[in-house]
Amino acid sequence: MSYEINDVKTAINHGKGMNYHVHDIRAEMKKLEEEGEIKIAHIIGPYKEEEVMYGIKKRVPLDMHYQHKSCGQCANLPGVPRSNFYYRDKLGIKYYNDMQQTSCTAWNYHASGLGNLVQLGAVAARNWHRAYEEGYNFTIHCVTSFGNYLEMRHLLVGNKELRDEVKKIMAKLGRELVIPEEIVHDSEIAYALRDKILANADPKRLAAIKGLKAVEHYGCHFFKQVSDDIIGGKRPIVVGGLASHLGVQMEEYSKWFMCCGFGFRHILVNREFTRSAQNIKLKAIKEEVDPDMILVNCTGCGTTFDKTQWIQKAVGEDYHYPVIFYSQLAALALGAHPFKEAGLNFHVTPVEPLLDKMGISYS
Amino acid sequence: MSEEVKNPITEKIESTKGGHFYKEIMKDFRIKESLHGCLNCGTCVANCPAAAFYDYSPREVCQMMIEGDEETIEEYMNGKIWNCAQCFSCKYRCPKENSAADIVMTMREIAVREGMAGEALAGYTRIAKLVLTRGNQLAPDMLSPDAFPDWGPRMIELSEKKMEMREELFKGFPGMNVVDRAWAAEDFTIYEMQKIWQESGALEKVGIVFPFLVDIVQDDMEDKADEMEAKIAEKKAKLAASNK
Repeated sequence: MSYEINDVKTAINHGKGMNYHVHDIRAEMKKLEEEGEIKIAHIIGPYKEEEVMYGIKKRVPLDMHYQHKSCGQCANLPGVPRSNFYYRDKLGIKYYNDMQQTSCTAWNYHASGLGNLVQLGAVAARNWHRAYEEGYNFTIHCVTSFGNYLEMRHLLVGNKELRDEVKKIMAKLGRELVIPEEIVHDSEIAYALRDKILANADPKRLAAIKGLKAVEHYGCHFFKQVSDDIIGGKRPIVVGGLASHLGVQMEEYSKWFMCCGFGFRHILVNREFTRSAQNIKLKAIKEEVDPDMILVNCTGCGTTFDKTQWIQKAVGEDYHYPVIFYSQLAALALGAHPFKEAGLNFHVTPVEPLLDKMGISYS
Repeated sequence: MSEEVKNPITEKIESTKGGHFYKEIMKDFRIKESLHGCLNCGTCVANCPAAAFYDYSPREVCQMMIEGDEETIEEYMNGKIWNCAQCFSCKYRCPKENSAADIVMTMREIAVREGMAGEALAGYTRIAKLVLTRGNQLAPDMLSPDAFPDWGPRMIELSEKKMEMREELFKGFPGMNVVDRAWAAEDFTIYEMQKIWQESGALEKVGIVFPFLVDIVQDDMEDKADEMEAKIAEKKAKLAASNK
């Protein structure tokens, strides 16, 4: 069943007028800022308001983007950060690719239990401070970093003991606890920029994209770990919203909610689980939609979908769905070379048949 | 959520239940946000990918904590906690807003601290080493076809050509075309990361599972300490001046 973005937007209104306790962390942050407990890195430059749960407005910065990179993307799917840079270059958005950024270390934490909350909070605060001292808005490529930073913001705002421990470490580094006004994932930014991307797109590329059939999958840490500050509310809309704006025909499938099987530790040490979970997802996608591509916004999910299709031959299945990130789609629409600028040749599940269908040269 | 908020469920069980692991888990402040009573409805189990394939149940995780059932808690501590995929589907779907995933994370931390994670973390050395010595968690070099034979024949091709492919992709993007780490984080940045792990007590915890790694990190920090601490002193002075 194909859907329009306005259909799923009704999810945002869930709870409005129903006397729910609506919790907006921004109000607590403002109070702490007034008390001198924390500093807030306020948004620099233009922004666009988008609705999150209960109709609360999230302010998405449209320029001056600090690029908090993803370990998994840079190592494994490098076309994603390259596409993130590409669409900003094409739209004239200033960004900062910082070699003083560290990993958020949350993949490590969720997989292993090594580390602790003070360490995670201090690593988050150090990266936030890097964006602040360079004068950029903090924006995030990785879904697990996004979920982790949302959680760290929540814990640091809500727990004085943790906050004090992190502040102590920051002081030893010559830094401060400066919490960004908004924690924003790059796919939320691309969604907020959808009109600009469409207006600047190559007409031939748009014609090639129009009518392609796609399903979307969102990383669990994008919308399940901290659910109340995601554009679209409980049912994310940013990837499908951007894609349908560019002309892609988005389709529903029954297993959209299910985890991809990445599992943080499972992808490394127990891929039977990963492959089994993938088989359930891919089977539903094939039987219910059989799309031209699977659209994603998450490092781990992109890796899992891309790398785990070939092995399904072992159970008699033949899957061949190119796995495309929202920003790779945006880069293609804006005229990027599919390999040299969008890095689609780093994907294991072949993208060439899709590019042939679209009439895009990749040689 | 403010730290003053009381949770009647956890307040009550704290005062009546015992057991070593139970008490250790309850010390973590996240538990008060992760347990709000349980209807035994099984919604979490129906949405849990780990429950689909393993002897693992997020419903059981919540129930054992509400009951203070030390025997079941021990079963989880001894292995079942490592089955959780940390997807938080349980938290998202629970009508009581419980989070078995968060409880499991607390338990994994305790398992590491109490020397119970050795077997679960076998095969995890390279990631831990990379985090602590390079500042990020993955490197193109780690994705060798030997380690991932199930990723198919195209991985072999990619592995052989990755250097030239990355060079082409990242022309004009310094620090991105590296294969021994995700990006070339600066030495000072790595030092700051190591210092965070040391100051937070996390490095000590790493030593319980990977003692050799602590030696590597400490040696690395000692080698750079004079130069790096001078830089930190400069930053401190700059910060103090800007706050005046």
